[in-house]
Amino acid sequence: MPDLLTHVLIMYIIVRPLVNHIKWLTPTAVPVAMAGALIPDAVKLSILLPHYEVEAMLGVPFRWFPLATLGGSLVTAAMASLVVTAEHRLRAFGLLAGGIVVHIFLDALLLKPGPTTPPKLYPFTLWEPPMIGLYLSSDIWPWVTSSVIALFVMAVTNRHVFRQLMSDK
Amino acid sequence: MPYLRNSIRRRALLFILLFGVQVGFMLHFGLIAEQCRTPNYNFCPETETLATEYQQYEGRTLTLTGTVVMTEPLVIALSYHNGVLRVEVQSVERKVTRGSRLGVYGTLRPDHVIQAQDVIVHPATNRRVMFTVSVLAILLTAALGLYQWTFNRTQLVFHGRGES
Repeated sequence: MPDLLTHVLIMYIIVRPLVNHIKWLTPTAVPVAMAGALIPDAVKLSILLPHYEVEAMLGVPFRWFPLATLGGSLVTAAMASLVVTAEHRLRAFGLLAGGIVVHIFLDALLLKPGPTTPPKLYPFTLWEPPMIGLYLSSDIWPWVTSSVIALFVMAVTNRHVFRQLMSDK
Repeated sequence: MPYLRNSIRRRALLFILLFGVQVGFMLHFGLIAEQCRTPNYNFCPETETLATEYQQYEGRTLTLTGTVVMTEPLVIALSYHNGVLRVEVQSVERKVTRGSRLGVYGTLRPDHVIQAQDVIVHPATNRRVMFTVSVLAILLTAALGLYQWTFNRTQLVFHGRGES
């Protein structure tokens, strides 16, 4: 993964301008879409509890990896959307799913050793996409660049608020 | 459709069902990894398997990821349930510092050596920055979420502020 900040800021950059143009998309949509971009990184639970520790406890093969995949992340999104009112649940699920898809797409561009990237489309397929390798997960430039663009988007989409503040002064 | 009901009981049942599906995925993928059905990516062999049956994998091309514990020669450490596997990485042109995370794609040689064909390095400093900004991302999303949404304790649901 690129760092989480890049993931959530990219979702902010995509969704925030749409709020001003799509009627059913209210400002409440923005943090939901950003939260969707966090979901595949639930796989980082493996840092706290490595899979081999779970395997030792359960006595059967186990991997956290599906949490980072399309199928596993959509299941997590369906679970998360259950804590939203029924009227907004499908919309929330759609926004979370959007964040997940963008996250997985950005991960597919990561630089990794070897010719392929992990099979993130599980359980639909075990296909390992060819490695494109635009950036390392630990590179600094992706989050710096996305921070600058997100600030620009925030300034443009909230310009009326800034104008109001200026005129009050 | 239970998914679109507000009843706490129905939602709890659905949550448990989905949780079961998620656990099923993790157990299923555990089998896939164990059976080496993802040959190009580094789910297989398990570090523990590699440590105990090293000779079986000699000559194979695989991916290993570990922490640099020595630079002259370059050695990475891979943790597993019962210990740590140390592997010397050869044919690395670039300079690597201790504590960096190193991913290597290469051919396994006798005596715990891997001949690198491709290497990526995550410097320890960059990794610390990555974890810091990732925590910032979680806080930012949570703050924006709490600003836009409010929690109804009676129904145990979030609803948008200003929305019915």
